Amino acid sequence: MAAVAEVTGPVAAKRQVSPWNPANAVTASRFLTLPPFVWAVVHGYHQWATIFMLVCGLLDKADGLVARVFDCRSAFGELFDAIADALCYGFGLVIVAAYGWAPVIPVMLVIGLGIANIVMRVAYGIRAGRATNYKSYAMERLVAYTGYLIGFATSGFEVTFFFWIFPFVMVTILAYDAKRMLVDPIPGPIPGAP
Amino acid sequence: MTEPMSASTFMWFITFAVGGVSALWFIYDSVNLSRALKLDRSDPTVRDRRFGYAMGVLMGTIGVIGALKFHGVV
Repeated sequence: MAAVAEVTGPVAAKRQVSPWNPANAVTASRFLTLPPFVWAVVHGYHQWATIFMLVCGLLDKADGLVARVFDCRSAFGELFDAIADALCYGFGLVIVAAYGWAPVIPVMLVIGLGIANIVMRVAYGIRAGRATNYKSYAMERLVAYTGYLIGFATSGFEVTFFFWIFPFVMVTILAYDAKRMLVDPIPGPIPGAP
Repeated sequence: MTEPMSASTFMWFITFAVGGVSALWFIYDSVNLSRALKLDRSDPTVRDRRFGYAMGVLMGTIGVIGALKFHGVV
């Protein structure tokens, strides 16, 4: 029996996870917060706009939890989550800047740096030769800060202070991550990881 | 259609969501950083964790300063 377990154990660990799973559904549902967010900004409802962006941020936290509860973590799910972050927060920043709720120059800097980050992640995936999401502890925190940044704009909470300090933090983190993504050796897949 | 809460309630809600969460974030990543500083630096994952936690401490500090600034404390 022990011999059978040794053979089947690793095979079972490599099971396929369908992209149509609860965690990815939660991730996708984040896009549903964008139309009401735009409606709130267009009509000048600062509190509603803040709440819709807050819901978007909470769903970002919930999808990881759902993935663990339903045991449906996957490389695609992590990639989809990163794409949803970029689209939701990038779109949110453009909207608040377009309606004069946030300074345009820092928003343009943040979006430019965000595009540079996406390009480097693609290059990392090509170097790795597989669909993989580059994991960065600092970038995870920066993404949370980006969600907050939109909230600062919609609520009028120290907008100038938070928006002008953000690009400096982002440049520091991107410079560190750029070396890891483009220069440093790529670690192999972690056993048991999605 | 009206806003869901009064302006002052909303401002205190935002203050808690920013200042409170930033303070917790600062403490959480400070503890993480102090633990990571004891680990082997030659491991690239450890270096990434250290840098990430240090950035978390920085962002927590920025959040607390912003919340205090909003209320005219600093």
